[in-house]
Amino acid sequence: MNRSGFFLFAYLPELILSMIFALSGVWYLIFIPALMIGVIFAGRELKASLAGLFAAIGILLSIVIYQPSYRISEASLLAGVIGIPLGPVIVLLILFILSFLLAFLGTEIGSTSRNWKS
Amino acid sequence: MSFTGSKKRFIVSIVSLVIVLVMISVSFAGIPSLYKLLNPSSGAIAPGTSPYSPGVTETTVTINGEISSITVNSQADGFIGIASSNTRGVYYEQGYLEAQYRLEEMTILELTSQGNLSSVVGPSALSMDIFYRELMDNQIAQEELNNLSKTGSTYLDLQYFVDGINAYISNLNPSQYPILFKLLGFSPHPWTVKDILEVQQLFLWENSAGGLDPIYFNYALEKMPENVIRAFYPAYPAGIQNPIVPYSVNPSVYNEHGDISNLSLYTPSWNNTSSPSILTESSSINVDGLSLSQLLTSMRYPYQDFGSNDWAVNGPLTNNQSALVANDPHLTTSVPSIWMGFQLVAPDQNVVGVVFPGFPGVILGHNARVGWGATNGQVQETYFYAEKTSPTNPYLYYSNGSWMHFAVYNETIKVAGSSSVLLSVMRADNGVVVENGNSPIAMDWTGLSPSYELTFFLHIDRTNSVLQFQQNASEYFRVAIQNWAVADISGNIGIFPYGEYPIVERGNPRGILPGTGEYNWAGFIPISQEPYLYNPARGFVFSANQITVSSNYPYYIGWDYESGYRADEIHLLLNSTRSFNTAKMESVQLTIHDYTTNIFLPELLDAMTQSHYGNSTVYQDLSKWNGNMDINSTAATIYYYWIQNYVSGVFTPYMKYYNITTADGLGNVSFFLGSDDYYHGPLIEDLVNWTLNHPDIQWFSNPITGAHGTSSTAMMAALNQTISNLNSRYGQISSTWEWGNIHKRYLSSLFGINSFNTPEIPAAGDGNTINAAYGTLSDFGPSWRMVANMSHAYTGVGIYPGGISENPLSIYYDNNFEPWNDGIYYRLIPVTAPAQFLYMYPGGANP
Repeated sequence: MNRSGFFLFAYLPELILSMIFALSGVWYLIFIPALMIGVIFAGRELKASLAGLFAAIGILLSIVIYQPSYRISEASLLAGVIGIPLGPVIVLLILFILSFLLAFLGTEIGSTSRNWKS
Repeated sequence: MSFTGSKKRFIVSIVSLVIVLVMISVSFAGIPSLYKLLNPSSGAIAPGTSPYSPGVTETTVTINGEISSITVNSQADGFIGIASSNTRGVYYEQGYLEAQYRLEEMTILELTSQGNLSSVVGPSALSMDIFYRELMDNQIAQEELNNLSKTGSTYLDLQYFVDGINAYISNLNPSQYPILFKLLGFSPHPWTVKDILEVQQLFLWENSAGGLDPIYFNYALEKMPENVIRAFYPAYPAGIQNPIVPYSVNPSVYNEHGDISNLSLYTPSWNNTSSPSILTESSSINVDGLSLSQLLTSMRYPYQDFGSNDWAVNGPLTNNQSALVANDPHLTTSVPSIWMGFQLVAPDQNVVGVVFPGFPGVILGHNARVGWGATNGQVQETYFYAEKTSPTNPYLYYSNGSWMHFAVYNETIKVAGSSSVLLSVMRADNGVVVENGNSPIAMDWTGLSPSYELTFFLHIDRTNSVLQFQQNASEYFRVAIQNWAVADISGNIGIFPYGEYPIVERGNPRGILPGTGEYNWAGFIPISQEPYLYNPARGFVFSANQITVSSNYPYYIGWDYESGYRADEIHLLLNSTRSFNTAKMESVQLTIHDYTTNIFLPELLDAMTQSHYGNSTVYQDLSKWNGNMDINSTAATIYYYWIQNYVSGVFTPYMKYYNITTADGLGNVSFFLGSDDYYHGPLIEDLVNWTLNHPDIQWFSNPITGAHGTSSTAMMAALNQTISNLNSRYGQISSTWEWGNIHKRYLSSLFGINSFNTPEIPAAGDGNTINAAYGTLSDFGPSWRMVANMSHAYTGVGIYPGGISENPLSIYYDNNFEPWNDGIYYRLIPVTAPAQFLYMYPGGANP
C-alpha cells in the first residue's frame, strides 16, 4: 500500500475515530481503534508513530471545532489553578502526548500481535 | 521482524499501555485523574455552558403543580430582574439563577457552614471545619427548621428558593460543572431548607463583632498593670467620638441602671497563670480540638464586615422634600463578588438590591417605599469562660454550686485524601468549648440559639415604612448586630442597631470570665433601652462602625470599635451640606479625605518647623496638601506611612516591655498593633488624645531605654523612619512616590486562587476615608454602593465590584471593577426595563 493508501485507510480513520471517541467522552479509549488498525495493517509498512500523531491531531481537532478560543482559555485557566506556566500550552501538550502514546501503543500492540501469532 | 523482536515489542507495548492507562486513571494530590480532567467533552476544557447574556426572557415553570410565568431582565451591570405574578415564581427563579451563576460560591459557603470543607479540599480546611462544628451550625439550623411553620411564608419562600436551586442542579451534567468542581472531583447535590439556615449561621458568625478578641485581650489584662490598661485601653475610647445614638439626641435609652457600674473593666477576672486552684488539671476529654494558638491563627473570615458606612437624611437637609439613604458595606472585594444583584417583583413587592448567594430575597437595597443600608455594629457578641472541670470526671463542669454534665455532640469530619477526624463538641450552659487544653475555654455567642434573620430579610423586602422596618428588626434581627439606616417615602428616617445585647453582672467581659456560673449572661438589654434614632431633629442618622452610644450609656456593650474617623468625616459633611440629592449623597460616599489629617497634620507640621524641617521638600509637600488620598499625591504616601510609624513607634516598646508576643496576638489584632491599628481600635485614638491634649504624657517615653519623649519627638521619629524607608524603596521624592503607584485595588479570588484575581489598578483612599481602601494592596472596601431618594426610589443607583458570573472566562466576571473604582453608579431599575419592573412606581404595570 502506498503512502496515499495508508493515509486514506489507516491514518485518516485513526484521526476520525479519535475525534469521535473524544466527542463521545471516551478519548482515553482511542487505543482500541488504533489496535484494530494495527491488526488490519500488520505486516505492512504502517508507522505506529504516524498513527499516534493522527490520533492526537484528532483529539485536538475535537477541541478546536467547537468554541476553540473558549476552550483554549479554559486550558489556560486550568494551568493557572494548578500552577503550570505557559498558559494553555503545557495542558494541551500533555493531552497531545497522552493521546499520541495511547494510539501509538495501541497500534504497536495490534501490529505486533499479528506478527507474533504468525 | 523476528519472532522474538515482535514478542518483545508486543510485551513492551502492552506494559507501556497499561502504565499510561494507570497513570491517567490515578488521582493525585486531590486532583482528579487526567482522563477525567483532560476529557475534551466533559473535563476542564469541555465546551462551556450558556454564558450570561443580557436581555429580557420569558419563561414558565411549574412548581408544586402550579404554573408561574416569569420575566427575567438580565442586565450587564450585575443585576437580574425577576418578575412574576406570584411569589413562588420569583424565589424559585432566584434560586435557579443564583445556582446558574454562582454554584461554586454557594457550595463553598454551604460546605464551610457545615464544617465539611475538608471533605472536598482536604486537610488544609480541617481547622476551619473543626471551628464551625464547634459553632454547632448543624444543630442550630435543625432547631430553626423544626421551629419554622411548614405553612408559614418564611419556610415556603425558602422551599421555593431551594426548588429553584435544585432544578438547576438536576439539569446539570458533569461536562457543565464549574471548573473547581471538575478539579476537585466534586458533584453538586440537592440543597435543602436546612442548608440555607446553615449558611445563615455562617453569615451571622462572620458578621458578629468581637470574635476572639476577649482571648487576646486577656493577655493584656494579665501582663500589663492596671494603669497601663487604663491609659492604652480605656473602656470608652479617648479619641474624638460622634456616637451613632448620642445621649443628646435620644436620652430615652439612657434611663436604666444597667450593668456597667458593676463591672471591673481594667483587671482580669480570670488569670491563665495564676488560677491553679480552678483550672490546672490536665484534661483527658477526648476532643480533637485545637490548641489556643492554633485556634487563633487558623481563623479565616471571607465575609468579615468590620468597616462600612450608611446614613439617611431628611427634613432640614433636604428642604423637607424627601428622605435619602446611602450605604456602602466594606467587605472583601472579591471575584466572584460576595453579592449578587436582583430586582424581585411580585404582587405587593418590588425590591432591588444585593443578596449573598445562597440566600433568597434582597439583604441591602430598597423597595418602592423604604430604602435601607447596614454597617456592622461592632458590639461584643462573644463572651469567653474558663470552665472549672471535675478532677475526676472531665465531662463535668462546675456551675452555680453544682457539677453539671457537658452536652457532648460527637462529630465525624471527612477529610479528602486523609482519614476522618472524630470530634466531640462539648457545650456548657455558658457556651461551647473552643479550646480544650489544660483549661477548657467556652465561648458564648448570641448565635448559639435559633434566630430568624432570614425572616427579617424577607419581611423588609416588603416593608412599607421606617416604623414597620423597626418593628421587624426588633422582632427578627437578633445576632450579628447591624446599624440599619432607613429612609421611607414619607420622609422618615431612622437607625436601629437592634439585636441581643448580653448582660453580665460582674467581672470583666473584655477578657475571659470564670465559668463558674456567676458571670454568665443574666439576660439581654430590654428592647426599650436598645439604642436607636427615629427622625432626629438634626435631619440625619449615620454610622461608620464607630461607637454606638455616649459614655453614659448604662450597659456594657463592647469597647473595640472602629476608631471613628470615617464617622467624623461623614458627621462633618452631613452637618455642612444642605439640599441633599442623589449626586450629593454619591459625592459624600466617594470622599477620599482622611479625617485624621485634620488632627495630626497641623501638629506634624509644627513639629517639623520646630525641628528645622520647614524648608524641606517633604514639609512643602505636606503643607500644601489638602488631606485627600488622591492617586497623584505624594503627600498622601508620606502621610500614610507616617501615621502607621507613629502608632507603632509609640506602642511597640510597650508591647515588648510587657512581653506581648505574636502568640498573644501581637500584629494580629488592632489593640496589639495589628495592620488595622491606624483606623480601628483604641491605639490611634489614644494618640489623638495625647497629641492634642497631653503632648508630654509619659507614654511617649520609651520604657525599655528610658529615653524621654514627647508627641513631637515621636512624630519626628516616625517621619524620619518614613522618609528613610521611602528613600530606600522608591528613591528621592518624585512621581514614584505618588499614592496611586503604591496603593492599588484588586478583586481577589473568593476561592483563594491567585490566577483568578483581577489585575491591580491604582486606587485613591485609605482605611480612614469614607471611600475606603484598606492596606496598600487592597481587596477590602465598599463591596456595594447604593444611594436612593425615597421620593422617587425608581431612580436609585448602585454598583458592586465584580460581575454577575463566577466564571473567570466570562466578560461578566469582573466587568464592574473599573467602573466601581472610578466611582460610577448604575441606575438599579434601568429606564429600558419592561413595565412590570416599574410596578408600584409611576408608569409601572402589574407583574
